[in-house]
Amino acid sequence: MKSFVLRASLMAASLIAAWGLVCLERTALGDDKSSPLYAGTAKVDITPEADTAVDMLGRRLSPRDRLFARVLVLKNDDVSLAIVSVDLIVFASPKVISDAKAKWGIRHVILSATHTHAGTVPRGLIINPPMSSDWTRSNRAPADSIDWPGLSADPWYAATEAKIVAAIGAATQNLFAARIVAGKGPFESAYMAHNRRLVRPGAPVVALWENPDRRPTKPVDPTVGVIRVEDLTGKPRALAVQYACHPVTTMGSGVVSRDFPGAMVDYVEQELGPDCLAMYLQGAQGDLDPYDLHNLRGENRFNIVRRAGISLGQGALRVAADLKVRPGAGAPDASKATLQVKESLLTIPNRTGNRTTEVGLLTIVIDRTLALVALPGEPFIQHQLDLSAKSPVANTFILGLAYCGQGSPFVVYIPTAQAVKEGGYGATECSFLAADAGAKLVDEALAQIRDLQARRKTTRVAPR
Amino acid sequence: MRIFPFVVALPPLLHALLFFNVTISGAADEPVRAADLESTLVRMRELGRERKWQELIAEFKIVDFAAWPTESAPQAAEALHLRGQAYSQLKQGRPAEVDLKAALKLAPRRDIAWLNLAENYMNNLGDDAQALDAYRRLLALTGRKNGWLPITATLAAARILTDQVRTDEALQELQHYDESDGVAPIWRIRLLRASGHVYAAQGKEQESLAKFREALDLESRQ
Repeated sequence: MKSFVLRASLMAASLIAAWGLVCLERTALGDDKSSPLYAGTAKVDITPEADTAVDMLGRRLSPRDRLFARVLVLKNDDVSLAIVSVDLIVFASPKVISDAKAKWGIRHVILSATHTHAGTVPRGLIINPPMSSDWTRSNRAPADSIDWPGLSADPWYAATEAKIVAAIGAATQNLFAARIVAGKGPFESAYMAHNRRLVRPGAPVVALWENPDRRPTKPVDPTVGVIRVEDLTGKPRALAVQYACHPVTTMGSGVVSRDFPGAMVDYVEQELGPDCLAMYLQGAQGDLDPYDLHNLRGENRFNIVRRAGISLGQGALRVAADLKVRPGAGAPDASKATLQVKESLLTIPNRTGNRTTEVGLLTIVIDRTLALVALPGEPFIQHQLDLSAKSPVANTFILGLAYCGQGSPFVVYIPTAQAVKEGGYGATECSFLAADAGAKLVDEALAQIRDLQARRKTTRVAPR
Repeated sequence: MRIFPFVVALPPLLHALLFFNVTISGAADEPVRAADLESTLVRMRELGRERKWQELIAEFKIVDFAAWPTESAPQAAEALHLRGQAYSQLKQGRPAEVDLKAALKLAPRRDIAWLNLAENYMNNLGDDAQALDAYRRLLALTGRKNGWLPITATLAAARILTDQVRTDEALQELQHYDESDGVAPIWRIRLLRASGHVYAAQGKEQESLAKFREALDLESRQ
C-alpha cells in the first residue's frame, strides 16, 4: 500500500513536472525574445552491488571506484536537452530516452559513455566464446548481434536505467537561469594521448597500445574543450570537459574504475566546489590511447590514472579561466542565447554484403559559439580535426559513444577511408560501416551546423 | 605407450649417475673428480649459452651441487647459478630461488647471481620487496659504476620504487647517475626515461616531458 502511494505520488510529480515543461515550452515558443535559458544538474550512483561487477569478458571486478551518471539538462523556448555522461564502456538505452521524454518532457537525450574499460557491463554484452561471440569484431552491426533493449534483463542495468531517468527528472525539477560559455585550448600532457596506429609504408599497421617513450605520433588533437554553465551570479554550476582518449589504463586490473575521467571530475569538483557538476564528454577517441598501459605495474597504475585525470582537469580549468561571457551578457536588455538541435538519421551501407545501417546523429548549436555532434560510435580523431577545420562554429566538438535514440545504438569504430585502406585495429578490425561513413557523418554534421546557423533564432537569457 | 618418457629421460639420468655425486643411494660416497666438475660446467655453460633451459634442467635437475667438496665451492656456486638461471628462465620461481640463494651462499660476491635472483623475485615470484633488496645487495657489491650491471640494477630498483609510488626514493636511485660522465648513450637514454616516468608519477609534467624529450633527442643523435 505504502509503495503504491509512493509510486502514485512519484507519477503525479513526474506528470506535473512534464506538464510544467510543456507549458513552459509552449509559453516560451510564443515569445522567443523573452525566454531564458535554463539548466539543471544531477548525479546518481550506478555502482553495481559488490561481487556482481564484471568486465567485457565476464571476469569479476572488485570494487575500487563508485560509478556515476552525471546529468546536465538545458532548456530554452524551443529545446529541452539532457546530456548524460555515464561511467561505462558504452551505454545506449532506448528506454532511458523514451522514459525521459514521457516522464519529464525532455525532447532530446544524449547518452554519452565515458568509455571506461573498467566499469561493469550488463550480462548481454559479455563476450564469452563460443557461448557469446565477440560482437565487436563480427563485421556485423552490433544492432544485429546484440539485443539492446533486452540488456534490461540484467537487474543492475534495469536499475541503472531507472536511476538515470530519475536523475534526468531531478535535474529537470531544479532548473536555474543559466549562461553557457564554451571554448577550447591547448592541452599538452605527460599522460596522453598518442595515436595508436603506427602506419609504415609497405608494411602492416602496428598497434601501439602504449607509448611509454612518448614518441610523437599523428594525428592527435592536443586540445581540450570546455563548456561552462553558470548561474546568473556567475557561479559555475557545471563544467563539461570534452577530450578524446581511450580510458583503458585500468583495463584488466580486476577492479571497477572510472579511469582518468573519474579522476578528472573529482579534481574539477574539488576545485570548483560542491555546487558545480563536472562531466567528462568523450570525443573522437577511436585511435587515441594514453601513453602508459601495460608498462604500468602496482599502485602506480592507479596513481597514473589519477595524475592523468588531474592533468586533464587542470588543463580544462586553465581554458575555463580564460572564457569570457560575451559583453552585455546578463544585462536585462542585451543578453541572448540560442539552443538549437537537429537530429539526422543516415542510412549507411555496411562495408561488406548488401545490408545497411541506420546511424543517428544529433547536432546541437549553442549561442553561435558551441556545436556538439553526438555519434553512436568511436570516430577516429581525424574526423574531429576535419570537422573543426570546416565548421563555422569556433568550438565544434564530436561526442563519441553518444547515443541519442535514433538508429543503431552502437556502430563500433568509425575510421577514415584512408585508415581502412591501411588496415589495422579499428579500421579493418571492429569496424563494419562503409569506409566513407565517417566522412559522410562529418559532412552531415557540417550541413546541420550551417543550417542551424542560418535559421538561428535568439532567445533572451534571464537577467543577472 | 608409457615407455617413451622413460626412454627420453634415460640419457640425462645416466649422465647424472655416471659423472656426478647425485643423491641416490650408493653414489653419494663416490669422490667427485675435478675433471668431472669441469666437464659438468662446460656442458652447463654450453646449454646456458644456447638458451637450452629445458635441456639443462633435464640433465642436471637431480644433481646435488651443494654436496660437492668444499674446495670446489666456486664450481658448485657456478653450477647452482646456471641451474637457478635456467629455472628462472622457465618461470619456475621457487626452484630458481633455492638454487640462486645456494649459489650466493657459496659465493656471495657473485654479482650476476644477485641480478638473476632479483629478476626472479620480480618477474616470477612477484616479490618486489625481495627483488629490491637483491638489487641493493648487488649495487653494494658493484658500486655506482658506469657498467651495464649497476645501471641495470639502478633502473630496476627505480622501477620497483616507482611501481610502489615511492617516487622520492626512485629519484634518489636515479640521481646517482645525473652528474656521472661517461655513461653510454644507450644507458643515458634509459635513465632519462626512467626519470620521466618518476616525474610523471609525481605529477611533475613539465619535468617529465623534458626528460622524455631529452631521451628522444639523444636517441636521434645516435
